[in-house]
Amino acid sequence: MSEKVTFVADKREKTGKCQNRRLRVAGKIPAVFYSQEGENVILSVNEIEFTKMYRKIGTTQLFNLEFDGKTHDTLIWKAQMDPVRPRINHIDFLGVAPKKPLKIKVPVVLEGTAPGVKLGGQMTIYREVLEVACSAETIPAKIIVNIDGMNVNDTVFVNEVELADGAKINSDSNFALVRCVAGRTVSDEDGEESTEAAE
Amino acid sequence: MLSPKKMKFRKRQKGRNKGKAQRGSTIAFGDIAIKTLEHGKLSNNQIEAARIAIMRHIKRGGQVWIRVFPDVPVTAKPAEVRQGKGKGSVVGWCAPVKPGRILYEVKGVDLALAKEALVRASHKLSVKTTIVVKEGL
Repeated sequence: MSEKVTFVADKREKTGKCQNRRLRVAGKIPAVFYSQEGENVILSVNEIEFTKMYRKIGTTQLFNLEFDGKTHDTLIWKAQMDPVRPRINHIDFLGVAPKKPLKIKVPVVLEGTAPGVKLGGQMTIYREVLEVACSAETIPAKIIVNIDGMNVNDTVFVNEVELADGAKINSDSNFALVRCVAGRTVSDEDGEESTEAAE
Repeated sequence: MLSPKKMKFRKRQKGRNKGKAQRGSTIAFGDIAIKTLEHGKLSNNQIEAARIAIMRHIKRGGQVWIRVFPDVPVTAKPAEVRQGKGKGSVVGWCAPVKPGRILYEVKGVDLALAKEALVRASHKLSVKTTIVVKEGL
């Protein structure tokens, strides 16, 4: 695991959309910090610095959040995006206790090259994130699914995914995670053309 | 052409279209998408024309999702008719959109080809749009 990043935030006193809009105009993002121990503090962070850090560590890596002269082990729990512009509107920070259990969404990443894709198949990810139950120390940065041996119509199920000790995927059923779907056959393509002509 | 199968009421008041899209503003299915930048109403003709533009450009393979549905009736009075005597008849359907709304998503084709297809589709629409790509691609 790489070294923890340290990020500095400022405490803010004023609340409400008027104050938050002023903060955004000044290049800051309103944020809230809440911890598993019940603490709740409102903060503001520098937009440019936070965006750089967010791109680097995502939502699954712990970092040190510094405010009020103290340092907290923290996760970026939620970054609320503006619907129109690619800007962050608000951030939720979760302060974690090292041993307490935690449920977190971890992205699924494919690794390798499937022979089925070379034969005309298409890799389809049915779940792009999975909920993992773990402690703060054992959060996997991503769930890597190896697709090296996958032929057309092969499927990887969620039970086949292996995680490090202490982390467990939170699922009731053994659903399909990734499948190499067969490409369109010649007859399908003809069908497509005929429907297009019918229009 | 897209239109609802049945309606509780035939005609509807216009209403107002304010604010930004709070739902349907993130890419949910595809890799690349068209997003609106302004308020407007998309008619079912426009939605269909844009879909055909995408399908004809990407040709085969790939999948397209339409994220808006024209469920608002549009009424009009016939030409050379005096005002009054009630509301006009339904002449079409529209989908009111707010800035930030995702309209079309494409997956399964080369990103450059998909982008070209979406640019062609955006020329059929009556609102300003931008092309957005899923995070991590």
